[in-house]
Parts: sequence; C-alpha cells; structure tokens
Amino acid sequence: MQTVIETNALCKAYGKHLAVDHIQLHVPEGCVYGFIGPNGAGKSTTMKMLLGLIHPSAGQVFLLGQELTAKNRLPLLRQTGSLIESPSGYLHLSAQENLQIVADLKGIPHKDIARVLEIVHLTGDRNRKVGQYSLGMKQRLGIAMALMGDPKLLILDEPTNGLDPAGIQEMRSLLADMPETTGATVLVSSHLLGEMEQLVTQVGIINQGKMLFEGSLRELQRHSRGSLTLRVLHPQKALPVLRNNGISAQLKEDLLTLPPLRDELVAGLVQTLADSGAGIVELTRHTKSLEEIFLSLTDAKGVS
Amino acid sequence: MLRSLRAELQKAKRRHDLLACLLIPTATLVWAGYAAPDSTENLDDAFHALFYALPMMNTVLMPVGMAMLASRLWDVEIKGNFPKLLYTLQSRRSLFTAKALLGIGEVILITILELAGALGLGSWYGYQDFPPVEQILYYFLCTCTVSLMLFFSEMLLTILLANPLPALCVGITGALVGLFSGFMPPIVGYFVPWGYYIPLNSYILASWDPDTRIVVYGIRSFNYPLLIWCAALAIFFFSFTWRAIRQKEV
Repeated sequence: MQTVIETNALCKAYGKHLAVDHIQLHVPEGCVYGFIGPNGAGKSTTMKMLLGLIHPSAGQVFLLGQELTAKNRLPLLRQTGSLIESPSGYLHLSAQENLQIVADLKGIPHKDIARVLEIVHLTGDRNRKVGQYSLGMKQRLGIAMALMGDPKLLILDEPTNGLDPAGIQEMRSLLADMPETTGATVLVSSHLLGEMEQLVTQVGIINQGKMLFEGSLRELQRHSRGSLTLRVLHPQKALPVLRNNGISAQLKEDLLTLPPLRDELVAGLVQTLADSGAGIVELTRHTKSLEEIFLSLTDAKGVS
Repeated sequence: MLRSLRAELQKAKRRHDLLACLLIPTATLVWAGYAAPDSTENLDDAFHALFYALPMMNTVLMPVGMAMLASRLWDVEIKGNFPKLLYTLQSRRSLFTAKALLGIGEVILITILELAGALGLGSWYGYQDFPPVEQILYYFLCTCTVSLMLFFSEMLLTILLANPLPALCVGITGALVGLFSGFMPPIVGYFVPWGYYIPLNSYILASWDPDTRIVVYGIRSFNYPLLIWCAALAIFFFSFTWRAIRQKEV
C-alpha cells in the first residue's frame, strides 16, 4: 500500500532537549492513523514538521509521495487539510466569511463552502460571528476549513479537545467515515487512548519524542495479549492441572484468571483440562485496552 | 499576491480600519483647524500657521494611531489563532507583503486626507499664502516616512510579543515624549523618533512678541539628512518585521 506520509529519522531539538527523536512515521493511504502519546510526547511538534510550520533539526518528510521542500511545500499543502492544536477563526467574521478567506487562499470555488458546512453541521450558523461560537462549534469550523477543497490528506491534532461527549462522538464518526466518504487519509493525534481505539485502523505510539510502536491496531492488540478468564464446573480439578503446567491461576467466585498465554499453549491447556474432567464451560481472552498496551510498551522500552 | 491582498481586505471587514483612517486626520484637522486663523485675522501667513501646527498634532496622534493600526493588523491573526493554518495556505512572504501593502496604503490614505483637508480648510477660510508644490510634497513625504517608521516599529513589537498592548503603550508613551521633545532644544528631537514630525517640519515660528502677541512664521530649508535617517529607520523596522514573521515558529 502506498504511504501518504513518511518520515525518515525526523528530529527536532530545542537546545539540548530532543523533542522529536528520529521518528519513522508511515501512514498508509486511505486509513485513519492514530498518533497517540501523552501530553508533551512530541505529537504536535511532529505534526507541525509534517506541515512545514517548524523546521526539522534533522531528517526528511515525504508527503503524498514527494519530499517536502521549501519549493513544493505550498502546492503539497494545498492538497492537505490541517487543524493543529486549537481551531483557527477570525472572531469578528462569520463562518461563511472565514471559509471564503480559506477558499480564496486555497484557490477553490466558494461553492465548496456549503458542502463542508453541511458535513460539520454548521449550515444554520454560517452567518453568525465566530466569536459567538462555542468551543465545539469552533472545532467543527476548524474541521470544515481542513476539509475545504477535498484534501487527500487530513492532519488533525487533538480535534476532540474541549468537546463535550456528544461532540466527541460526532467528531469520531465524522473522522472514521472520512476515508470512505471523501477518500482522504486521516492522521489524527490524541492523548485519549480509549477514544482512538474506536476510530483508527493504524496506530503510532510516541513517548518522549520516540516512536514506541507503529502498525495496525489489530497487530498492536495481538502484540499485547490480555489475560484469560476460565470458567469450569470443577475448579478444584483444574487448579492442579494448571499448576503442573507452570501456570499461576487465581480463583475468584468460580472464575479462574490466567496470565496472557500464547495460542498454542492455550490450545494444549484446553485439551489437558478437558481430559482431567474439570468441565470447561467458557474461556475468554481479554484484549488489553490501548491504555494498558501503552503502559506496557513504555515500561518495556524503559522510557517512562 | 493578489490572492493574499484580497484575503487581507476580507479580514479588514468589520475591523473598522477605514474608520480609523478617517478619524486620525479628522481629529488632527479639527484640533489644528480650531487654532487656525479664520477670516477675522490676518490671513497672509495663515497656511504657515496651519502647517506649523499640523506636525505637532501628528506627534500627538500618529504614534497612537499607527500603534492601533499596526497592532490590529497582526492581532487579528493572534486572536484568531490563524498563523498555523495560514502558513499552510500561503507563504509567509505573501502574508507579510499583503499586510505591509495594506498598512502602507492606510498610512498614505491618512496623509493624503490630512493634507487635502488642510489645503481645503485653508482655501475655505481664504488663506492667501497657498504653499508651493515642493512644500506640499515635502510635507507629504515627511509625514508618510515618519508614520511608516512608527507603523513598522509597532507592528514588529506586536509580532515579537504576540500581544497588541505593549505596542499601544509604547505608542501612547511615544506620543507624550515626542510632544515634550518639541519644546526642548532642537537637538533633543533628533533622539525621539516619535516626534520626528516636528524637526522635519519646514514651517517654523520665526518670532513671537509676547507684548503685541504678534507671531511671525517662516520657512527653513528641508531637513534631508533627518528624512534619510528616518527612511533608514523605516526600512530597518520593515526588514526586522519581515525577519520576525519569517523566523517565528508557530
């Protein structure tokens, strides 16, 4: 699959502090890519470098198959929509007027304004001054500006910041549908890990400027298997079998909790337990939440 | 470039910049016109009196006016949190050029309105000593140069501090210091850029008799060295403003 964003050993140093440390980012075409990390991890700095807003100390950025240079930056970015940190909007102008400015600068017809306002549900408020908007409305206006001109790539930095739960849900479904409805690839950052789990297909995890993991969400979840819950008819028969196989299980209210195990080991264990007459009723594997995976990754890399 | 300039004009909507451009010369003319000789007085050197007074009014009003126009021009971007988006849509050069062009246009408009107003006022009152063309051009050049120097210095301050308030404070303080410098020995005026309107003025008070209260105005030669120095300062602030926009990370 073609990558629409690629970075090669991207670095940004502020004095002696390396805010972004040799980041290798690969965002495949047509996906929603979650760029996840705690506050201060280097997400915004990386995204700003992708947009040429700040100069990298070292490394390269490739956007839509071309290396980002001072010469091709604007033509490439005109095919991109972005929302970095907080939404932009001239407070003394209406949403319609703000979008007209963006349309003129992007060189796209004004008729696109109605389309993007419809997508973000701001058609009814198009003539209100942006200064009178709530934060959620400003955020949606920011998304509308990013969507102007049908960009091939959307780079959104924490777009759900400051939104109420309904707004977050709305934004989530808007972004999740984006590759299908507009054909755009979406790079979205967040520190709300649970929220990303329901939105993205590809994930990059960053902490203290370093990339800890990059791959599909499924791969990440597989990579970090969760514990198993075993329900049997006769726990007292099952416990010695587990002990003999070197597995430490905890019994609580007729449920046995087993540590994360490889698939082959689980298959063999089920056979042995069945032969022992423990009476297997149910075996459930728990997939770790992204929070747990993030914590285990940061622990494993020793960077937290 | 035209795209950027059009965007700047769109941003100026409801910002009342044009009103500010009208208010500054109006206030100057009302103030200077109030003290100007009318038909009951000797009108032989009335234009001299008017053009002697105008730079004084400019010293009071222009530093504040320039601070207001320059800071509003950049403050709209700060308040709207727009640079991060703008720099993905247009080059920093085109943004600066458009803002500089709009600012220069505003300064020229204010100066033309002030000059036209002064000449119109004098003609209406029937002043006899209509200034020669070279005096008018010199006045226009000096007022524009000093105003542009102040405009870009205030714009630089707003960009560096990302806040319009320091520029306004500097403008108000500059106006007061500039006015005081006008009543100090002439050498002092050379060290107070906000008051450059006064030492650049070619109309002077030749004599004033406190007993008869008769004032005689005169004309001195054009102060080209100071005008060149002022233009150099304007270019310096213009260059540093461009440098600030080019280098400031968002």
